[in-house]
This record gives sequence, C-alpha cells and structure tokens, in this order.
Amino acid sequence: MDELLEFMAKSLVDNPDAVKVTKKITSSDLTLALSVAPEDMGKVIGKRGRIAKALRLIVSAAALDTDKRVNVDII
Amino acid sequence: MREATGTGKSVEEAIEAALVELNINREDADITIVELPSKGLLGILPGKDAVVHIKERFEPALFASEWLEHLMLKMRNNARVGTKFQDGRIELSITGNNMGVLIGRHGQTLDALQYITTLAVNRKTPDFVPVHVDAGGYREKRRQIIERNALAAKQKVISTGRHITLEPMTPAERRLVHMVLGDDPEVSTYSVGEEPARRVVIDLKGE
Repeated sequence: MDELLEFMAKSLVDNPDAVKVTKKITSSDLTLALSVAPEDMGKVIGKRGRIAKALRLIVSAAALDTDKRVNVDII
Repeated sequence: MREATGTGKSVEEAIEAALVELNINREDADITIVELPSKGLLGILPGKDAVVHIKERFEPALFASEWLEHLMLKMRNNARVGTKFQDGRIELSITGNNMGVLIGRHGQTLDALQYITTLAVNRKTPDFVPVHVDAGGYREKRRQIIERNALAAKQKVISTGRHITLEPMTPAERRLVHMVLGDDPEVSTYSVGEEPARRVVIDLKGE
C-alpha cells in the first residue's frame, strides 16, 4: 500500500526524491503518512483536495482485500 | 522535456556524454549537432570540441500505458492495459478479472485512476493530452444505459407533460445527457443540485 502511494506521489511532484511514505499499523487500521517537499504540497492535494481525494480512493480500492481500513495523511 | 548539451573530441563522444547526463538510450533522444570538432593547427591554434544538443523523446501514449500497468502491479491487480491514441487523446483500457475494485461505486475509483493518470502523463508533456481510462468496458456500458434512460425519460416527459429529474450522475455523464437531447425540438435539459448529487432535469421546451 505504501509503495502504491509513493509511486503515485512521485509521479505528481517536482521533487520525487523528497517523497516519503511511512506506515502505522493498528489492529483495525493502516495509516499512511505522505510527506513531500513544501513546494509540492499543492501537487498532492489539488484544488479543493481533489488530488488527495483521488489518491485516497485508489489506495482504499487496493486495500479492499485486506481486513484493514486505510487512512492517508498528508503531512 | 529534459535536454542536455554534450561536448567531446568527436561527435560520437559528445552524443555519448549528453546521453549519460540524461541517463537515456540513444533511440529515446533527438540529436542536433551544434558544432563539428576541428583539429587545431599544428598544435599552435587549439582545436575545438564537438558540441551536440539532445532532447529526450517522449511518447505520451507509451508512457501512459506503462505507467498504468505499473500502477496495476502496485495495486496487486492482475490486469492488462490496452492503448489507443485517437483524436488527440490517449485511451487506456484495463481488462482482467478484478474490474469491480478498479471501477468502484458509481465509477468513482475509475474516475480517480483517470485523473491521476492524466496528471502523471501531462506532467511530462509540453502540450496537454487528454487521457481516458476504462475498465472492463464500464464506460461504454454506462454510455448505453444513460442514452437509453435519457430517451425513455424524454418520451415520458412528452406523454405526461411533466418534467423528470434523473438519478445523480458525474459531470461527464450529465454532459452526455445534455448532448443526446441537446438538439431535441420537444424537450430541454438543465442540471440542479450540488455535486456529487447533481442531477439532470428533462422538461418540455417552454413557449
């Protein structure tokens, strides 16, 4: 899941090397924290959060066959 | 589009230097020779190096299909991606067993895939190229259903004289209804409500 998010984020930003995804696992949830270079924030959030919403949808779809809920935090 | 300038004692060396700088293969580059090398004069006048300029060749359709295939791998979805470049847009069509997951409720996951793919492809292109993504023929099926429903609703509006509000649809789907009934002499269409519950209304044409 983290690799999927990282791949998408790296394809969107100007500084792919600054993209980092860390994961936190609890019994019910998988939380992915995405961090990018400050000037790339808009490239992973988008107007009215449109890009962030699309990224969350795709990650959630990929996690359907796991028993965990996936959260994506952009930090 | 990435570019680089290379210099060397020969044209070959200059090209090689530029290719190494961009880390690409020769078949992926457009090469312009800027200056031919010249030997100095009897070691008195200094010689000049060859100078070439290369541009990375970029094929959006190829990039798009490889990118989406890679994404499918990362989603652990065993799917295949077909590519067509038509009418100035890239059409990617995903086929495989697990298409429902990629389509999502009301096609919203498919729309998300299309949106992110469009952004990834166009980050690298100088001119905007529209990218369409379909999975398991979903968009074609939806198109047929929406056209059929729109025409059925039109008949009902004409026979009852009352307007009909269709189910909520995405912007692209609403546009399709407006287009199908756009030239109709008897009914007109407009949209009401807010996303994501915006709906098309079909009504008799006013006097």
